[in-house]
Amino acid sequence: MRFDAVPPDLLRRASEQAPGAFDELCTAVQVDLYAFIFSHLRNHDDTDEVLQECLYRLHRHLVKLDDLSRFPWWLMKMAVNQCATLKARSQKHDTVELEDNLELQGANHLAAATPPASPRESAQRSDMRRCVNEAVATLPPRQRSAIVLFELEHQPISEIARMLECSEGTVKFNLHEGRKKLRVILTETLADDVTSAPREVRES
Amino acid sequence: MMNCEQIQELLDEYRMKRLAPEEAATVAEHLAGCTACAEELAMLQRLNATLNSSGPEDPGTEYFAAMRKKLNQRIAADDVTISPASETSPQAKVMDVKERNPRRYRWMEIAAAFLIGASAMLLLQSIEQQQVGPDETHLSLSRKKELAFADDETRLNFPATEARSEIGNTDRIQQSASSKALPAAASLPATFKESSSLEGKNVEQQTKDSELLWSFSDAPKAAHVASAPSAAPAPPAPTDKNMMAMASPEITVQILSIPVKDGASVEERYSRTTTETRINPMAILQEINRNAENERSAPAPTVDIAGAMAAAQASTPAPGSVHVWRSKTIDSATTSITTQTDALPNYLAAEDIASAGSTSEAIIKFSEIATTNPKSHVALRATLRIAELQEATGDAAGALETYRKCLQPPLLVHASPTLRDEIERRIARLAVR
Repeated sequence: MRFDAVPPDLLRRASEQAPGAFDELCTAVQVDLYAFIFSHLRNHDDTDEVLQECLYRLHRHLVKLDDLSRFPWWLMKMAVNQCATLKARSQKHDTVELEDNLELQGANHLAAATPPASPRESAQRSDMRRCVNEAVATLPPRQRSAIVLFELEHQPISEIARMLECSEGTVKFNLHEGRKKLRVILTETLADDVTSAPREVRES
Repeated sequence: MMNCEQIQELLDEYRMKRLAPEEAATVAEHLAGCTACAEELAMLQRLNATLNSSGPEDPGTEYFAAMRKKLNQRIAADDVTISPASETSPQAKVMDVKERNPRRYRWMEIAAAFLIGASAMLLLQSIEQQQVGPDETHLSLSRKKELAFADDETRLNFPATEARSEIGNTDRIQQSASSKALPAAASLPATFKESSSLEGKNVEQQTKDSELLWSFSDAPKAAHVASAPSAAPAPPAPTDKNMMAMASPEITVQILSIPVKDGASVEERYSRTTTETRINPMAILQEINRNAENERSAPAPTVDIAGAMAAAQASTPAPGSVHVWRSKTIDSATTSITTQTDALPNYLAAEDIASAGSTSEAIIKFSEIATTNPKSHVALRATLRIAELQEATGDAAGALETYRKCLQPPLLVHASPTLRDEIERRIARLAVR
């Protein structure tokens, strides 16, 4: 599981606000936390915003965490909540973020160029990533969280229910619904049927 | 023995290897003999693999360094100062909330405009229902001001209407209908009050021959509501029952709404819903008064009356209905309502021409649509269709240019990210050719 590799000693020192400990803790969790938040939000800018907010909250509230062995769940729950908050806020101000998208695409191309892969392979991978990102981004926050926590983080249903503060039945329902939508979207997108493209344009 | 449904419920846990050995054995046994469940499992595994294969790119150490720098600045600022939120004035907080939730307030503005309009209609109707002889008497000056104010406030586009009043009923109307309108005047901007008193004088002059003649020729600067009550319900005989109905007035209004929200699809934008609702204008006026007190700092929404009136006239409303339009300035739609209403039929006509095979005619028709609504999403759609048609006829260079036009202002703003990607894909495809 993510975040369980953080040394308990470091956690304890950070919790006691020892000098430098928080910086060390940030360094220990930031990459994993970025990946976790990204799996929810599927774009860099939102991830950046939530990551900063989470680390800021980590700094303020770690003192209040009594049972440090719960740290991984505590951090994940905080991140899930912040993702949901951001999503709710961005739905109110739904704006077109052209530059951001271009920037992200640029970043994708740059990053995809780093491993020694053929251009065709990297293009396919980048395309696939974009498809999946877009598909996941269409899911409502609850379904998205359930999918991410179960499929990517491999959390047990009971733990997800605890994190999302709902019943296990609700988690199963959200998982089922989310997967149903993803299947439909990904099947359509991955089919890459040229003949269906004009219709897609007119409807979108 | 478990059936397929029960097995499929266990597949998640089976996949994650969280089942007890006996249960796992049962599932495995079932999967060996049931292709449907095996396929379901394979599908779940594929989906999982797809999701896992699309992890984020590594944003790089520079990103994390910059992010940490910002974070540390934030933490440092937090340590030094008292939380800035506690220092802001209550008014600043209100403004802040308003900026953060503009849609909520926009909705309130529209609702208030509509309710004021509906209540003014009731006032007019109640005057019409009096139907008494011309030699009776005059309204008191304050009453005239109220009536004038009510109309001024709501800017109803009434046809010239005659209304006469009887002294005995005036008191009752005043009591039942308009006495509560006065506090609203107190909380409204000065310009409103000025114009209402001017109207009052006008009314006074016209009542010299003991008749009250309404004719609102001056279009005020702003309007919330455009109404076309061409044929008000036939005035019933003035009985006590009617008086009772007025004392607790409730009217039925039809609301025609056109969604103009950001990112709405073309179908959504043209779907109009008519809803009918019963309202009590007096209760609403009180509510508006209260809101006006709370929201005095909010600028009054202003709308182009000519546009709203033209829109009201363009449609043929049911008799006695009130049309509420979301105005240009309130939702910042750039094209006028009337232009948008005929864009869809034109667009559909162009599609018909295209499907009939007359490509060049269809292109001309689509170009017309694009030029008449240059800043609208309709223009983007029409331009895209032109490009598609050009591509279909083999004019690759023309199609390429037209597609590129879609990715430039003013059309670009209407394109969703998915659409942009699709257009880019097509441009790339054409460029290769």
